[in-house]
Parts: sequence; C-alpha cells; structure tokens
Amino acid sequence: MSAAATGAATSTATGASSVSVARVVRAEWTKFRTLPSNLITVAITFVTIVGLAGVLLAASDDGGTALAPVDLLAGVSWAQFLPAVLGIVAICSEWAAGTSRVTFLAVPTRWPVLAGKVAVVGVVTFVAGAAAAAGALAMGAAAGVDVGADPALAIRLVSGTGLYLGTIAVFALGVGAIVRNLVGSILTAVGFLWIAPFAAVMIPVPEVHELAGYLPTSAGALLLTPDNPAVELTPWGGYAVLLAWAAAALAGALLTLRVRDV
Amino acid sequence: MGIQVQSLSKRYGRTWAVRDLSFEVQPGRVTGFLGPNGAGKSTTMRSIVGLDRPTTGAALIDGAPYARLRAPLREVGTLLDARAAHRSRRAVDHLRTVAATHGFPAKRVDEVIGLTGLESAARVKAGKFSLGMGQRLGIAVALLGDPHTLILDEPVNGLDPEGVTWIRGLLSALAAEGRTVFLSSHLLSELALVVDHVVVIGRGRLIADAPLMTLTSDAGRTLEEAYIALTRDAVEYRAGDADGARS
Ligand SMILES: Nc1ncnc2c1ncn2[C@@H]1O[C@H](COP(=O)(O)OP(=O)(O)OP(=O)(O)O)[C@@H](O)[C@H]1O
Ligand SMILES: [Mg+2]
Repeated sequence: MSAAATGAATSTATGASSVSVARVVRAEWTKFRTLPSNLITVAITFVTIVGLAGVLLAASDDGGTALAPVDLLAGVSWAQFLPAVLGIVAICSEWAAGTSRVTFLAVPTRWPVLAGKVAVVGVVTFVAGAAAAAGALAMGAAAGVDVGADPALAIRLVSGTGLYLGTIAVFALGVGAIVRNLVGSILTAVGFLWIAPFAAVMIPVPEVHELAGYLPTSAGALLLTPDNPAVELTPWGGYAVLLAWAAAALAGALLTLRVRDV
Repeated sequence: MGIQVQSLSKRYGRTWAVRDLSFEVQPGRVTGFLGPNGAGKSTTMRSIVGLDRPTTGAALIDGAPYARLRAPLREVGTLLDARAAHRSRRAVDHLRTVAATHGFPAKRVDEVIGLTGLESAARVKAGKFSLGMGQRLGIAVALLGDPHTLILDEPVNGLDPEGVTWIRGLLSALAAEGRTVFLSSHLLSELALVVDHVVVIGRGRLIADAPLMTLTSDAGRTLEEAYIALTRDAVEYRAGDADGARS
C-alpha cells in the first residue's frame, strides 16, 4: 500500500518483511541490552564470582597453594540468584511494564517470544558464568593453585559454571512465564532453588534426603564439584536433572502462553 | 474484507464482557466504536487482534484470523494502551524492539518518529513521557508497518489540540487511501468530525451499526444526543444516582 498519510515511500520501507524466529531473537536482544538494569545484573554476577575468588586467594596465608580449583568457585552459590532474577525480569517485566500487548501483537504465535528470551538470557548468563569461572581459575593459577593438574576438571568447571547459571536462568524464566507476577515468580523460584533443598535437610527421613538430591540446584551443583562416588548422580547426570527441570518449566510456560489471555 | 466480528463472546470468570456480538468494519471509511464504560469495547478490540481468546465466536481481518498473519504489523496497526513502553527504555529503543520482530529498516523507525512529532523525545526514557507523548508513541508503533487496518482504542485521549487535529486528518487520509480505520472514543463531538460510520455497543451487545448521517442529521440531532438516546438502558456506571433519587 503506497501511503501519503503514513510517510513517503513506506511500501519499500516495510515491503518484504515478515516475522521469523531469528528476528524475534534479535528483538529480544534489543530489549535486553536497552535496559541498563540487565547489564548491571550481568556485571554483578561476574564480579561476585571473580571477586570472591580474589578474596579467598588473598585470605589464604600460603598464597593459595592449599586451595583446590573448585574452592575458587565459591562465589557461584552467592551469584546464582542473579541469573534467576534476570530470567524472571525478562518475562515478568512484559506485564509489569505494560509492553506485553505490543510484544504479542507483533508475534501473535507467541512461542517465538519465549524462544527469543530463552536464547538471549541463556546465552548471556552462560557467557557471563563461564567468563567469570575462567577469570577465577586464571587468578588462582597465577597465585599458585594447581589448576593445570586436572585439565578436564578445569574445563568442566568453566563450562559447568556457564551451563549451571544459564540453565537456572532459563528455569526461572519458565517459572516467570507461568506465574507472570514479578514478586510471585521470584518467591516461587526461590522456593524451588533455595528453600526446598534447605527444608529437605530438616526432615529426618532418608528417602526425603535422597529425593532432595534431585532438586534443581542440588543436582546441578554436582557439575561444580569433583567426582564423588558416594553420590548417586554423576556431575553430568546432575546437570541433566537440572536441565529436565528447566525443560519442564518451559513446557509449562508454553502451555500458559498458549491458553491464557495476554 | 475489513474487519468481521462473528458472534463474538468473551467471559471473564462469571462476567460476560461481550455477548454474541457481530458486526463488520468496512475499508475506506472511519468507523467509530462507542459505548458506555465497561460496555466491552476494549475487550472486543483485544479479541480481534488475538490478545484475548474469545470464549466463543471469532474475528477476521481481511478474511484471516489475526494469529494467522505472517507479518501482522504490516496488515494491522493497533493501539490499546497509552502506556505500553518500558519506563526505563528510550522511545526510539521501544520502536526498534518492535521493528526488529519484522525486520523493518531503521529508516522506518525514524519515519514514524517524525510522523508523530516525537523527534525531540525519541531519546528520552518512556517513563518520563506525558500521557499525550505516550499516546503518540503508541500511534507510532501502530503506523510502523504501514498497515492496511488500524485498530485504535481511545487514541485521542491525552492529545493536545494540535495533536487532535493532526490525528483527525491522519485518520481521514488513511481511510481515503482505502484503509480500514476502527477507533473507540468517548469524545463524541470530536468523533463526529471524523467518523463515517458508527458501531454502538452496551453491556457487551450490539445497539447500533449505522452510518453517522442516519443517526444524526437525518434524525435532526447531534451524535451526542443520538448516543444518549441509544444507550439509555445500557449504562452501568452513572454518576449522581443519589441526586436523581431525590429530585
Ligand atoms: N482482564 C479482565 N479480567 C476481568 N474482567 C475484565 C477484564 N477486562 C475487562 N473486564 C470486564 O469486562 C467488561 C468490559 O470491559 P472493557 O474494558 O472491554 O469495556 P470498555 O467498553 O472498553 O470500557 P471503557 O469505555 O471504560 O474503556 C467490564 O465489566 C470489565 O470489568
Ligand atoms: Mg476501554
């Protein structure tokens, strides 16, 4: 439609364009990077992990030679709340800020929006986590920690930190899409990721303890610990359990998006 | 073609917001959508563009359901809320996020900013916008894809006199180009200057679907008088009922 009223040669301006998943991913990336708070959250995640490694190294008398590589990642359990918040904010802010209608008017099939957010939040938190772990280990190596003794473990710790944080962010994103309300989503995610593992320890029933090992953070954290034959799950087995939680949350999110009004 | 609403019903919990509503909006003219507060206008518009799932019935735009459109923004421009941008995001970035979904070029974002007179505010965070600036940003989003159909929920709300005149001219020009223009409003004297056709609903049901002329000049009354007469029994929220009881 040639258009005097809506501005010049607009037919050439918009002519061949249509919605694709790749374009929705790009739109979600634009959304992510144009909110300063997201960038700050990513930076704090990185600084927490690297910073805590620095504190541990500085605090150990022998310059760190007594520390194992896994000890350098103590900051991950502190930082892991931030990727979860990032995932929740990515989806819940659509409703809190009133952008949800504009978003789903542009993408009425809805699911590509979720896919785009998963891609952006997942990749950003993976990269931030892996980069922070690499930074922490490099600092340790420079200070005398024997990081090179087990190269396979070092690689697992770096990629594992990225995967662990990225998958927690995606799990939280799924929870956010189901719950929609920002505060409700954060409470639900905190319940699954932190309160449930603590609460399970309080129940003096062995079966409960065993099941608690399959909670998202308990299982996923195995990726960041050395092999332990006493635990039923292998490190990657533990990560697979975390991945299954994320997949279940996303399945619920897709269903919710499909049936609920925007 | 145009918009076809077919036996549309929408229930929220136990309230029926829209009940068995059918009408058509023709291209090439401006159609006004009127009704008292809570009549179901916004619900009808959200159902047409697939944001609300109808309980029963359907709506088609140029023959297809909205969700089936491959490039929805090129077919339909929609304005539903004046505040639809993230407070912390700059207006230009808000437009870019929308443009990116369809791969519209950066030039088009600049064009709609110019068209809606937002040049000086484009780099301001949307949270700092006044109601009228937010409304202009919403109109910019609606025009982004140069759509054949426009669905606007109270677009005049908050606009200054210059803005009101501008949007009146814009809507007439769009209709003159053969596009479908469907807008709701409570500002009847404003509306009377621009609409060719009027759809009136009350309590979710159709009350009138007629050319403006038939309702007004032919009957020797203003749109306001016609509206009041038509919706007398359909108004749910009326101020000063206590006074009315006393007199
Ligand atoms: N999301 C919702 N959940 C529950 N009820 C709703 C929802 N949206 C609308 N309603 C109800 O549906 C009815 C119609 O509301 P709607 O907003 O469509 O009216 P309207 O004609 O646009 O009114 P107004 O002129 O005030 O904008 C009202 O009773 C309203 O309370
Ligand atoms: Mg309304």
